[in-house]
Amino acid sequence: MTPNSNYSILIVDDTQQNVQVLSQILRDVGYKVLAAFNGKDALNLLTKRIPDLILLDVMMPGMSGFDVAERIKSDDIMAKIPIIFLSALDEAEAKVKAFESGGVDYITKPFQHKEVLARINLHLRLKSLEKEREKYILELQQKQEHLEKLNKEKDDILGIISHDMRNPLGGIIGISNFLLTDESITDPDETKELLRLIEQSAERLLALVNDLLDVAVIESNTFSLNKSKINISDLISDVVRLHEPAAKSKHVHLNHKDPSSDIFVELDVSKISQVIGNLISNAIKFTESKGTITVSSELNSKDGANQLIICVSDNGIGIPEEMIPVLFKKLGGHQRSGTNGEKGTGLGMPIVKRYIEVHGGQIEVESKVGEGTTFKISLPV
Amino acid sequence: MEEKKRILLVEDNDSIAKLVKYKLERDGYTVEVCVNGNDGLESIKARKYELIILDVMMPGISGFEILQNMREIETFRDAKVMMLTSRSREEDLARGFKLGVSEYMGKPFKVAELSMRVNKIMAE
Repeated sequence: MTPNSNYSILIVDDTQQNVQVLSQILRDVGYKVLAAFNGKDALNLLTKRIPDLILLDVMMPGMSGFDVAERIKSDDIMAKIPIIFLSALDEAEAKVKAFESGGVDYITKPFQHKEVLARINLHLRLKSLEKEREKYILELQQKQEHLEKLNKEKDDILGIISHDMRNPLGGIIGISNFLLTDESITDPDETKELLRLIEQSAERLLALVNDLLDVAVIESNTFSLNKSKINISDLISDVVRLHEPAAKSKHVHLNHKDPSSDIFVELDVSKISQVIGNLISNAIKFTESKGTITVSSELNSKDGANQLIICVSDNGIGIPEEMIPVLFKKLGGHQRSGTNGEKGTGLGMPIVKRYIEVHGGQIEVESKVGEGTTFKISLPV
Repeated sequence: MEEKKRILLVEDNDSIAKLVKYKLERDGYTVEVCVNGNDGLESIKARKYELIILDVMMPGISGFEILQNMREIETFRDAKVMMLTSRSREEDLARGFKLGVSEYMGKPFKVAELSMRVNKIMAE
């Protein structure tokens, strides 16, 4: 238990000798003592200091102890202080009135020292239990609200996923069925074109499933980084090469600035590759043909610490201002078709943000509609 | 030579849209595709189509909202509309027919059947 010196007790009594005796008893066992000789002074003192407990005499000139108690109980903050009445009045009527006016206990004078201390101890304990109870209730309420929010997010995601999976599946089934049943198709080129549509739908479905798996791992908080030392220019070159066919087919220039610079950093290669890849494929989606995408990396020093800066810039259609705050928001928050109607999963950017954060880094976006977008990643090295 | 009849398809699922466009163009129509409701409504107001095929659930405004919007404009009061949707409960059907749709096809659908229905509407 906490030592008594953590508690302060206010004695309110008009008889100076009573105050002295009580103070001595309380101080002897370590309590801090405050004193007031009438109700008015007591209330005044309470506006400045809040004791843990009040010992209140009933019969005092001016305000009686009952009046003082009622005033205390009508104040939100003071109302929580337990009040023990001390009085020579021994009638049941007085005792009942004491409890009605808000007292938690009643001790008749003359009193036994040990009894007073035992009762004080009891009420201080009750008060701290009550405080704990309130704390736990608040915690439980907050936890419940949090869980309800998470549950709703899950439901929302499930709704979005089922809609997004249905679409490509509908395409695959519809086109397969058409190929199987329509006898008018005899040209192999036509068949190929329809098969390509099936392939596209299946690829979209796979991308969605892959993103969902990443999200599931992220959400379960079980994933760990697999760091290794690597030349960041090599990593970027690999990722750029991977996206060149997509850029080419949309007639978008994809540049890697300074591919021969040597910056060695330690990071999770597969996760950072995915991050840069996501940003590049987004840039391709939102850049019209003849546009340019540039990926660059450099070392920077900020507040004495070295940082790796990776930028993916495009001169595409840009992001409307109102979309920027929801861009990285959790799951399924945001989906937008590319300039050629390309579809996304709506999960890419939240994954990017999370992967950067677990590396201790940051991602920022700057964009102007009609002029282009730059994503800037800073990673500690 | 007779000019080809024009069809507008408003459908956010691009695989389905491409398939339907492919089939209907083989049937001898010109097909334009819009991938969201807002673009769809703009196209409807900008050009004349023999038939408008509307998906219901789309980003932006829904197919029903487009239809409602059209029926409030004199020029489009009698335009031929076909609904194409995975929402094929009875109340959806009722809502569609109340707004004067010519056909109502639930998803998933067979393209051959869609093509037959389109041909029937166009022959009327």
